Amino acid sequence: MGNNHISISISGLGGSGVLTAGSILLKSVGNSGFYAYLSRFSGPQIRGGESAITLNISDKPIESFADYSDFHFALDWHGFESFSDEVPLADKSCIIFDKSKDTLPEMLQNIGAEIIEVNLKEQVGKIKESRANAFAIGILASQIGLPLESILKSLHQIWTKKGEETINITFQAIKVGYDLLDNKPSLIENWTPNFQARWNISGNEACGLGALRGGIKFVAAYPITPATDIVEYLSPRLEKVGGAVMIAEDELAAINMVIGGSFGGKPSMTATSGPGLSLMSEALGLAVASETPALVVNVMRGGPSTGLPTKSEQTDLNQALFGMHGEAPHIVLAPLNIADNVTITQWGVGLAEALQTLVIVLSDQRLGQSRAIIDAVPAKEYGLKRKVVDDEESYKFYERYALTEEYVSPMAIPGNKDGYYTADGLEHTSAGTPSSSAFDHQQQLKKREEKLTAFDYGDEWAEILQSTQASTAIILTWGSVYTNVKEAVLDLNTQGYAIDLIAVRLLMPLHSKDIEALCQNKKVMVVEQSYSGQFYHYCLGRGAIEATASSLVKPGPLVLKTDEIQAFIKEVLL
Amino acid sequence: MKNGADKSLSPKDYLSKAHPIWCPGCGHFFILRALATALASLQIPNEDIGLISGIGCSSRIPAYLDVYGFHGLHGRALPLAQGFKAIRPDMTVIVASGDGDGYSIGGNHFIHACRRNMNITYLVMDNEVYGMTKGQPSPTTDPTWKSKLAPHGTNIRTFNPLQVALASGASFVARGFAGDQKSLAQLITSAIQHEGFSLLEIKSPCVTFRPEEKEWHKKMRKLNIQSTEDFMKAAGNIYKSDGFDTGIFYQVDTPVYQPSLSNEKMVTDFEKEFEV
Repeated sequence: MGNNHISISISGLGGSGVLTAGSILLKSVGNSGFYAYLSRFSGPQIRGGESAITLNISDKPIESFADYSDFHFALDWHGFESFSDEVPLADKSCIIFDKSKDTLPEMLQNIGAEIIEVNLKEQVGKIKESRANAFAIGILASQIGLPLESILKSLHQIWTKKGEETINITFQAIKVGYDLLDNKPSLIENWTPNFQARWNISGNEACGLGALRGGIKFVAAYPITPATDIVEYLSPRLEKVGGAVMIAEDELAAINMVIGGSFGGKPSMTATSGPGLSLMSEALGLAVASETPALVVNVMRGGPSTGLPTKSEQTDLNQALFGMHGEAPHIVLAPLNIADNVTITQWGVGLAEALQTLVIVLSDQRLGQSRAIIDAVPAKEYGLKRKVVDDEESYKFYERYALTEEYVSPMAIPGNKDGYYTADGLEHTSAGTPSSSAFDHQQQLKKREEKLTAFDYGDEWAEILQSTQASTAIILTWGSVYTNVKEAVLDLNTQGYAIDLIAVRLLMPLHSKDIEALCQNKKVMVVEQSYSGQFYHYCLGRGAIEATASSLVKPGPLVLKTDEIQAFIKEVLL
Repeated sequence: MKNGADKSLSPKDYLSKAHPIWCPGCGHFFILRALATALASLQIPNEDIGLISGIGCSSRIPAYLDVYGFHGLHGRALPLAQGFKAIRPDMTVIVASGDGDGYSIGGNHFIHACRRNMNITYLVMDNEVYGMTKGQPSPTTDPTWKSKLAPHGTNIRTFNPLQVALASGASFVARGFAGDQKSLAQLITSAIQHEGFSLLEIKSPCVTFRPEEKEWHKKMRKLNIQSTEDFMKAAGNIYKSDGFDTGIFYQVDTPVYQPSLSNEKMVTDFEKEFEV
């Protein structure tokens, strides 16, 4: 709490309505003119396992995790132990729970938190067909001062098909919940609402929207957690804008279908997660070698092997960078927050098309499955298009892989009379004829590398925050941990520290020289959600940082919180 | 532009200048010529043909024709071709594969391509051996055939692609022989004309690693199979066949999978869904 920031969490058995309660509260916060960030946590069970959400609320855009929950509501305590890190409760927390279900777990008895017991069974009994989670919504809303009208509006928005009766019953229960505990003064009274264009969007939806904006026309994918949401978002929409989604029999098929669609002239993509990316490796090299544009969105989960399918980790980095055999230069991008999921995916489509290469976008479970109220994301105009053989041009001898100044060759789209060629994963001559000569190999290796390194990626390659004072330290990070790192750095800078921050979006080709220059004469700290420090070692190997740099790592699903990032920074700067 | 609308296309107009890497006497040469003959008989403009292949001796074929080709990955030609066809229904899509590429490493894709029944022609150039890697047993190799890799033979029953295709939903199932180029051209023509997924299994001798296959021309029967729409009858004919029967075993008109592409909305319409 404080700094116009309230954190809420809710936990309970899957099916008890934890996510619904969180979603209604998120929407209501949006309706009140504020911002919110909803993250969900679940075990691997399909139905009936433990689940939890965290909801951070502010009058400014927010996408970071809180150090602890101000309010926690337990619909029951089923499997709560497994969320003890993701849903941190502390002495400053207020814990409300349904005593008709369980007693307070031992682990929470002596933490010094305020404990409030309610009997929801009794309340549910009083309102026919009501559910416990509705009372919980009312109780939580009353504790923070969220107006009831904003909640009623949400119910109407969410349940357009459920009918008035469901809405009435639910709202009745919410109102009872609202008055159940002693009225507290509103915590959001002095917040400034903002009624400018804002969106209620998940990261995976944002990614799908970015793909549509980028002009994706073909998607082939195999279901995998936590990436499937992207395909489920695209499936009913793509078919209305001249595109198609194909359900592949496996990831090997999915990526090859994508290459086929792209060969046919249409921007194409797939969405997957670690195990799927592993299966795709061979074909990723084919996209590179045959210079066929392809976009792969990889929503990372914990690995290796089946790993932690429902939980976040930034550990497919090495694979995205180096997963292919031979030398296969390609582009790896990473969004930093939900809005970035829109723009970076759109950028990824454009880069794949314009540079005729493979682009991997590394999102993760946290980025993908969190939902937030954010400012509307304006469409960008990257001006990146595939260079094709024009019907007007006439080619006496068309060479698919002809060397050009920018190393990108015009691609003939099937149907064009002047450009027959055979795309090939075999090394080839500039005309596309298979060749194993050292000359052709070197020529084509250089072509495929240079077209990526010679390209001007502009300012989008990183988010750079420079301290207003001359800084002596700099943090290097990437991906979903960025939001908490940023919060930690900005806060420390108000305390008199002078720390810069680079959050890299373009992971390959890495802007090593720029990073090196920004890090000059500063204490360098690298922060990431992994065990082995993949990003640290990558930056070190590329010469972007020196071996004296410090590394803060934490494997998933543990969350890097603002206070521990600050503690690390302070220790390094001692 | 060599294909004027007024000029009819001959088989030669489809052959490229590239010289095949195949061994002298390889059955694949005859398949190449039969394919060119079939394309000419259908007068399909070169630029409207997509010939997709995987890896192996067979899969070199796209470069030997003046069409749009994709020489992709070992076993993955079918998915690549289906992605291509999904978004380019206007193209004539032909997939070339071999017994290792199509039935071993690409086996799963084979089943699902049959299931989808897209309008694609699948030519499997079956020489019952891995030729490119110099003579290893494939799924169609006789279990007693001895090789360096399997000195006592594989002792594993052979794979029957026609049975699998029929069971998995292919709507055209046929067998041809490279040594009978004229009949083969007819079969390829019928396979391309068929609306749906057509499997044409083509017996093609490997004279280098399986010289005994040179005898096939004595054993293969010329288009002796009568086409039927009757699934059970086709299953019986396939089951009874010793592998030397040729012709169309099964051809039926069933729903073809092809995504419909419409343009009723703009991307900006979807942005409204997110508004608070």
